[in-house]
Amino acid sequence: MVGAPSIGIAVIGAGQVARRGHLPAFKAQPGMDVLAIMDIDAGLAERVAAEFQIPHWCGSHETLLEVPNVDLVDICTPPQMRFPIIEAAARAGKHILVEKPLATSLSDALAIREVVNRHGVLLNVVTNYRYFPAVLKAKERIASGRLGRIVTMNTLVSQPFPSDNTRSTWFYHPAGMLFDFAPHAVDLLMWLCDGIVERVVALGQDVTGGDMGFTNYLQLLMEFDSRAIASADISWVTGTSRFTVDVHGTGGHVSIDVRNNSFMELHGSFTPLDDTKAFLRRVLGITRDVLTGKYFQGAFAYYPQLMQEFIGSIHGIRRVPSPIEQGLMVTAVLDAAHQSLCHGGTPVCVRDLFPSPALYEEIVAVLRG
Amino acid sequence: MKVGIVGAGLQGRRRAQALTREERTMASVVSLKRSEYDDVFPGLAGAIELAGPLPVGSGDSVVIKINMCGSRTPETGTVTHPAVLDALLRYLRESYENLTISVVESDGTTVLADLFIRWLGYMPILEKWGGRWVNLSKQPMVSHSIKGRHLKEVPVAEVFQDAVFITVPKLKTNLLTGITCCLKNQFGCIPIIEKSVYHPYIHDVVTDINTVLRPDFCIIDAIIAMGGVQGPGTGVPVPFGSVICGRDPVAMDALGARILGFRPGSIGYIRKCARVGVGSLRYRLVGDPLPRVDFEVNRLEMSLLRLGAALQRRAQLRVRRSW
Repeated sequence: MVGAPSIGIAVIGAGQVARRGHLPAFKAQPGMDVLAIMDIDAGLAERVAAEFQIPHWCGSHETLLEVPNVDLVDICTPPQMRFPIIEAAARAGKHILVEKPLATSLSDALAIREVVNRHGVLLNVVTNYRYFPAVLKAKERIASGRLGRIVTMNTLVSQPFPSDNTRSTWFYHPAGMLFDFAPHAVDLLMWLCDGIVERVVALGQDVTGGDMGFTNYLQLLMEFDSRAIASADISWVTGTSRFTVDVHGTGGHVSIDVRNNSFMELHGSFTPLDDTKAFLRRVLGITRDVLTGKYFQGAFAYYPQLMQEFIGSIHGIRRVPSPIEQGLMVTAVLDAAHQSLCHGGTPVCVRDLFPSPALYEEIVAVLRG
Repeated sequence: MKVGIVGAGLQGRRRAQALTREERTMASVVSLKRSEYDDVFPGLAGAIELAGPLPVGSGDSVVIKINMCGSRTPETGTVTHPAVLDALLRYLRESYENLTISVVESDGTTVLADLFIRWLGYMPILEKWGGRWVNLSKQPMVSHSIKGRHLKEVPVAEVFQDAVFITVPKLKTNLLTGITCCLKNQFGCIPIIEKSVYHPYIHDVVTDINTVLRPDFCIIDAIIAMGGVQGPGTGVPVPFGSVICGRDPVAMDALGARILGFRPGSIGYIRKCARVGVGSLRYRLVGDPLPRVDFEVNRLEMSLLRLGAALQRRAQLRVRRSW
C-alpha cells in the first residue's frame, strides 16, 4: 500500500486483546495511526494511551467518535456490548474491525449487518488464527485439490479457564463457552473447506455438576453443505492449551497443530520416513519460532497480516478478508449449537434460525461470492 | 496459641514465637496418615492427634486458609479438596464448642475467589458446619510494619485478629519456586489482586508474610498431590493418599520438598523461613510410613520452562519496543 494515505484508527476497549494484539500490530506498521482509545475504565484508557503514545483517550464511545480523522474503529469489547458501538460507528461512517465473535446471537448479528450495510461501511471480524503459516499451508493444499473431496474434519480446542487470562466475568453464562474460543474453531473449519454449516448437534456439561451453572466442556457435530462432517471438541477444564485441526479428504489428510504452527500431510500409509520428516519439521519450526519470539506471542503474532489485509480492503485494493457475512454465519452456527445444547443435543438446522429462507440464501450467496 | 495481630502486638507476639537458635535445630513433629477422599475424617483426625493437639479452645475464632489458586476441580490436585475441609470442620465442631470458623482465600491475578468458592463445591460444606466465607481482598486490613527482606508493610485482614490460624494447603510442584505447600499458602493471604508483581521476589515475600502470619497449625491435603513440571495450576495429579499435619510450617515444607524430590535447603523460601526463625528444617515423622510415589518431576525440564517463561517476557518486551 505504498503511497496510500494513512488510516486513522480509534480503539474501543483497552483490555488484554487490545494491549497485546491490536495495538502492537497497528503501531508496528506504516500507514496506521492510532489516534484515540476508549475504555469504560477511563483510567485504564489513559494508562494504555500513555503506554502506546496515543494522543486521545476517553471513557465513552460517543466522545471517541468525535475525534477528527478517524477512519476505522477497532472494537475489542466483550461481545455483549458491541451492538450499540457498531451502530454508532457505522452511523458516523467509520469502517469497523471487530473482535470475534461478531455477536452472541443471530438476531444481533443480522441487526449489525443491516446497520453496516445501510451506512455503506466495511466491517471485518477478527480471524487471526487463519494467518498461522501452518494453517495457510493447509488451506493452500486443500484449495488446490491435493486432499480430494473433504469428508470429515476434527478440531480440538482445549483452552485454560478464562480466569487464567482475565478477571473479566462476562464469559460465565450458559452460552459463554461457545462464544469464547469456538468462533475461531468454527471459522477455521468453514474457511478451510470453503463450506457452509447446515446442521448442528451439541452436547455439553458442567464439570462441577451444576455449581458453575454453565457449560464448560462440549462437543459439536456439524454437517456441511458439501456433506462433509466436522466435530469440535471444546473444553475449558482440562488445564491444557491445545488447538488442532485434522482434515480428511478422499485423497489424503492434513493435520494442523495450530498453536505450535505445525503442519503434516499424509497420503497412503504413514511410513517411518513420514514420521521422521514430520518430527524434524516440527522441531525446526518450533525452534525457529522460539528464537524469533513468535512462539511466545501465539496468535497475537498474526494480527499484523490481518490488519494489513483489512486496510487494503479499505483502500479498495482487495476484498474484506473476513466479511460480516462470515462472522454472521459463524454466529448462526454457534447460536444453533446453543439451541441444541438447551434441548439435550437435538439437531438444529442453521437455515431455520434465519427470519426467512431468502435472507439465508442471500448470505450464502455472498459467502459463495 | 492465638494469633495476636493488632498493631505492635502482632509483631511482638510473632517475634516471641520465632524459634530460638536452639529450637531451630530441634526436630518438629510431623504426622502422616493414609487417607482417601471418600472418607477423610479418620485419617485427618488421627494425623491431628499425632501432631497436635490443635491450639484451639472452645469459643475461639478459627481462620482456615485453603488453597484455591485456580478454577480447576479438586480431583486435579490444584485446590484444597472440599472433602478435607469437610473433615476438618467436622473435627472442629465435634471437638470444641462455640467456635467461630472462617474459611479464607483472596482474589488473585487468576483467582476470582467469590466465584471459585461457589463453583468448586465449598459452600455446601460451609453451610453444613456453620463456617463463613471470607474473601481477604474485601476485608478491612491492618497494616504491619516489618523489617522484611522485601516487604516493609504487610496488610493483614481483620479476620485474623485474635484467631487461631490453620493453613490447609496442597502439596504441589511450582514452576516458580520448586514446590508450594504450607509456607507459600500464606502468599494467598496478601489481599492485593495483582500478586504476580511479587513473583520476582517470591522467596523473600513468602518469608516476610510468614514472619507476620505464621500458621498455628498446618494440614496438608496430599491425598491427590500435584507433580510434573507445570504446577501449581496444571501439573500432573498424583494420588499420594495422605494427610500430613504439624505445627511447624517449615518442617512441614521440608518434608513436602523431600516427598516431591527436592532438597529442602534448595527451596529459597524454606531456607529463608528457617533462617529467620519461622520454624525448623528438621522434622520427626510419626504415623504411617511415607508412600513411595513417583511425582514425575523433571528438574531439567522445569529449568527449561523457567527459561521459556523468561524468553516469553523478553519477546513481549521486544514487541513493545518494536514500535
